[in-house]
Amino acid sequence: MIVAAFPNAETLQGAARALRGAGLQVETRTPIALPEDEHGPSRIPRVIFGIALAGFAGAFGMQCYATMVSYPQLIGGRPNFFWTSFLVYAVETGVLAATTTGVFAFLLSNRLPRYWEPSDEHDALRAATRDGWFLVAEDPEARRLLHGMGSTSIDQVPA
Amino acid sequence: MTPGQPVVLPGETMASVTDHIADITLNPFGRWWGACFAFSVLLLGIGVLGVGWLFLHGIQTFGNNWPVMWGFPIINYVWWIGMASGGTLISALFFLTGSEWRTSINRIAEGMTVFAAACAGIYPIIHLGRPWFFYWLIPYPNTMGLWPQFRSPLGWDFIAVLAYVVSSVLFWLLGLIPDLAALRDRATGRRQQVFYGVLALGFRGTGPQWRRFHRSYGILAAVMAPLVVSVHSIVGLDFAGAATPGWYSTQYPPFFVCGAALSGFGLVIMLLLPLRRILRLQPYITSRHFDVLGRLLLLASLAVSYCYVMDAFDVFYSGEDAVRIQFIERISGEYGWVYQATLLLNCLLPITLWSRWMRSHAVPLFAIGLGVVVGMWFERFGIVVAVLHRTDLPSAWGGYAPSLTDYAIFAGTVGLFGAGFLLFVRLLPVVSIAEMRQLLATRG
Repeated sequence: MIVAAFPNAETLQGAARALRGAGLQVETRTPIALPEDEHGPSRIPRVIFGIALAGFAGAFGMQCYATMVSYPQLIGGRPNFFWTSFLVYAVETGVLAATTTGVFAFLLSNRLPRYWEPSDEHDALRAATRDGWFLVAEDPEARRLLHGMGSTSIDQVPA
Repeated sequence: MTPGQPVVLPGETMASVTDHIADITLNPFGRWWGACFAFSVLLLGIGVLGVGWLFLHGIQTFGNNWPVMWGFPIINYVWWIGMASGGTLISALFFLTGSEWRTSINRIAEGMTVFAAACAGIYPIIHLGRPWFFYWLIPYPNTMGLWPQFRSPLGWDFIAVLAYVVSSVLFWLLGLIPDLAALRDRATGRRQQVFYGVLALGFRGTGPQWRRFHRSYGILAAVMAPLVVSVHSIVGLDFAGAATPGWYSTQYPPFFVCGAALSGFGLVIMLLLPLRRILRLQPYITSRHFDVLGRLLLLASLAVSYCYVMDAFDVFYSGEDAVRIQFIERISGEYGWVYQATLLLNCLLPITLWSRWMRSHAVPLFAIGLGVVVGMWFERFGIVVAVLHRTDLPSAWGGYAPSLTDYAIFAGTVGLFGAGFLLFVRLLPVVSIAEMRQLLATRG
């Protein structure tokens, strides 16, 4: 496994693009999101929206069933299907579904929790949660390609 | 405080911010923490005794009685959930507006929200006659063939508070993950490494992790901001939905939201001022933050003042005798002093924040924060007690006296908030390290 350190986000991003262009699998480790990741595409918004909508529809349907089928009440001739008052419960359930999905979608899509992986043996990578900019590649070929791309160090770590 | 400071003092870098904030959490605290924690646990113990007494002897041990059937439990519930809401407005609403000043104070505001919401969440359960049946509030298929009443604001309140408490905790925990990873990588002791390592869940700052983190966090913030408005509106509807003079008003939902913001901003200021000094957070929490918070508190106070004016206007415009007699009693009768104290603390005292001097000095700011927190408690007391003790039937007029159990449980919630918040300050990073790094990178 090759671990290369870079002085800033720009050089790291350039090197990662070049290596990916050469067909290599690379991973970046950064203290903040790289610009391309901060605004990058993700399926999470669509998943959250879908589940929130299902939560809304489910809660609305449940109220219709409860008040119209399971336990209808005759109170002063008021209708049992009273959709305006059902909205509150439905919206709040949708919100609850959205927030729980948001967190679980983040964890599941990243396969977290994951407490160990081979790169953890390389202590220098700890600086990625401080101010270090790193590139990690499985392919030893990366070492050759990384020369002249502005990295401050290139290390080989047993995978 | 020196007026006119930027949101971060010059000379700070990603490394210095990470080290400074991680060091606060990873190193021992002074004696102040132990003393405050012991005092909070003492209060919490009193509360536990109060709840134990309540469970043994039933809700007759509350001071609630006809005609004031809603006493301390609902007053304190609304008061706590209101303060919680103020924290969410800072952490979620101002995230969406991209306000830079929010970055360093959102963690403390969120911590405040979580523990204030926990204090609020206790009341609806313990005030039930048979609290062990609290799960009857949840709609589920049951052998009795019964459902909760979906057309009542009290039923909405359950789902709103549940959604709010769960979402606040999740929003808080999600934001903590990158910072816990930073602590895991800074920790030197084995126990700290394991503790923060387990909590960080294996976050390593890879590209996909950051991408999904920003997506999830952004959406949670976008959902939380309207959620907080809806929660307190529903709390307002608990009152407005009842055909009780003094409560039956369409302005209650926005009125309650404004009051919640006011008390929340007040409590944030009260917590930030001492923490900034004790934990040496001056480079990140500057006079700029207090200037903004002071202005926000002033804005919320003006909105609340407008609601008080409309409250009075409604009374005389409606022309109903019961409402008029009750209002006059509210402002000048047995509980007149509560109404006057509410106006003094929530409307007149914050007016002084028009002055820049007041916004840039710790002592007056703290006093105003404390003032509105107390003032909002008085407001809730007035709305509940002063309204109910003079309802539309003169034969049903009466008084209210909180019991020792009421006071004990109230003290217990203060202790719970204190102990929970102090544990948070001790164990978790009090400023969002990842967001501070982002802020420094954006500012260059």
